[in-house]
Amino acid sequence: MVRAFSATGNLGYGFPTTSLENALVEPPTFLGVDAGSTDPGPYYLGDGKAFVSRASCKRDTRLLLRAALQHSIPLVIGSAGGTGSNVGVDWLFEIIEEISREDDLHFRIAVIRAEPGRDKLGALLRQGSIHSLTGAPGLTPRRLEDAARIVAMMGPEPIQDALSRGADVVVAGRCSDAALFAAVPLSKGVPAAVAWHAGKIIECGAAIAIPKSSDCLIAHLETDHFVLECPNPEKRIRRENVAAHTMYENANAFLLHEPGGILDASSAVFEQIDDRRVKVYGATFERTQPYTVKLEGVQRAGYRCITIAGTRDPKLIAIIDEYLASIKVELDRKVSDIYEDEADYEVGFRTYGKSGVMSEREFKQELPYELGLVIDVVAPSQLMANDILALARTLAMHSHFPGRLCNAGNLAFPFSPSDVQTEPVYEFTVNHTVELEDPFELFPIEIRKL
Amino acid sequence: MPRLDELAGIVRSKNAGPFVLTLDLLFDSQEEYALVKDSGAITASRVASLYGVDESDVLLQHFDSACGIKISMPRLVSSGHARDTDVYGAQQHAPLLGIEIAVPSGGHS
Repeated sequence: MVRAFSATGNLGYGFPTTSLENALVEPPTFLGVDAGSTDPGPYYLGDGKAFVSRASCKRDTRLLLRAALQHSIPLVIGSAGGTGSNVGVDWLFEIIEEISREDDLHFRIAVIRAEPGRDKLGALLRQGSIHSLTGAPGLTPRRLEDAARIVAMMGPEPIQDALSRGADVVVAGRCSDAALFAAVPLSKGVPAAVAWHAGKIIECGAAIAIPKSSDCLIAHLETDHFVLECPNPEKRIRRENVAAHTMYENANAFLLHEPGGILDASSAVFEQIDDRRVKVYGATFERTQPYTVKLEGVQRAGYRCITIAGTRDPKLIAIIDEYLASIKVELDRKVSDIYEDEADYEVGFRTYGKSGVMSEREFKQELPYELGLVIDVVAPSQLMANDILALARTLAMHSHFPGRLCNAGNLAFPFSPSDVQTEPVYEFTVNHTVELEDPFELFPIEIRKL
Repeated sequence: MPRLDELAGIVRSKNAGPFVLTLDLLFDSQEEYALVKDSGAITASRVASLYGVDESDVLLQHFDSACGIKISMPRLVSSGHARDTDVYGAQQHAPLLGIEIAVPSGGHS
């Protein structure tokens, strides 16, 4: 009924050209690829930067664009530029424009934006239409105003509309991964449960196939089931991996909240057809009212400077927590001496070898023979972060501790210069749902000719 | 008694959005999955005490068709927060590895 093609886990992660060629022998109904995620953290949305290189993104996009136009099948790209923000959409659009010029390719392209204006969000907040998801702080008009960027996660409807208006290529801003792959199947009459469950599985490309590497995946969708297959003949698919992927990266194993409804996979059945194919059926999809989409937003927390060092001194390692706590006190004193009350800063002493990874959730008590130390300062300006870090570094290097024999210095610094200023620090402040009157409300569609 | 890391095929952690951590225990066979599930060793209260979180904050689900157990809990701070130690949440699984699984006699060899 519908052959859905997913190019790779993330546009720019790559896929073998032979996999794409194999997939095109019997051309899919559409080509899809997810281009974004919040996984790499808040910085990318904050600064509007991609987390894949432009060159790798252009390579993947060029191959998909040529294939789509040659076979007259739509290409749908979701969460453009990594974050699906306006700068992300523009970044990818520019790459596509460049390919169009270089390769003399001409087509209709829909650009769907997903960065609603603050006035609009403010009105929705006042109406009581915005609700926190687990763990997120409540949204206030102040938080809304302070956010560096806020995106909304579109459902399938804007993509379907763009395609019905004749777009050959759709570049969508922030978009539900599953919706990007469910859009065309839903338009072709595939039942919602099949379309959404298949969408959820294939959005990560061939993540479910073994041996594991970035690759393409195909889902054959029918009215009551779908079958997964990797166009790379060297790859196999095991039913257990497909089942496990259903619960991947969601808090709930069975329930997937999507724009417009909830996919329930608790009764899904996964059947091994042969080494290379798995058949899936039995999930259900319940439509929910009102129509709800997710909002993601970040706020700038400051600027960071870090330094990396290590200690091999057993006496220092034995009392490292007390030592660093005393340094923190001394640092606070020095900083307030210099900046008076203006320095709203945060210092972290991250001890690798001792709770560096799990922080206060660490349960092991053994002491290591050497300890890595990352000192990081986040402050309201880069200059202040650099200055305070320099103070912290000197204190950590030269302060006394009980039983100290190494009075020329407590730390081994691997680098000169020792301090590294990083990009601005952001923090997720918006992780909410918003109720909409219609699925297009926050997602303007523009169709252009290239 | 065998440990969880001797019975599970996959023990992984990952963010489920920027505020929630989710851990998946996946088993290669129905037998190993059933052994662990039926042992009663993996409960919300056990996980809560291992991670130092409130039991009411732990969601634990058995997904029989995937031979998997899913555990979700709030992150200490949101992903990428100034004090965060694990942006992807990918290295928060270790406390589960050593859980001992009581095996019925004549069961796992």
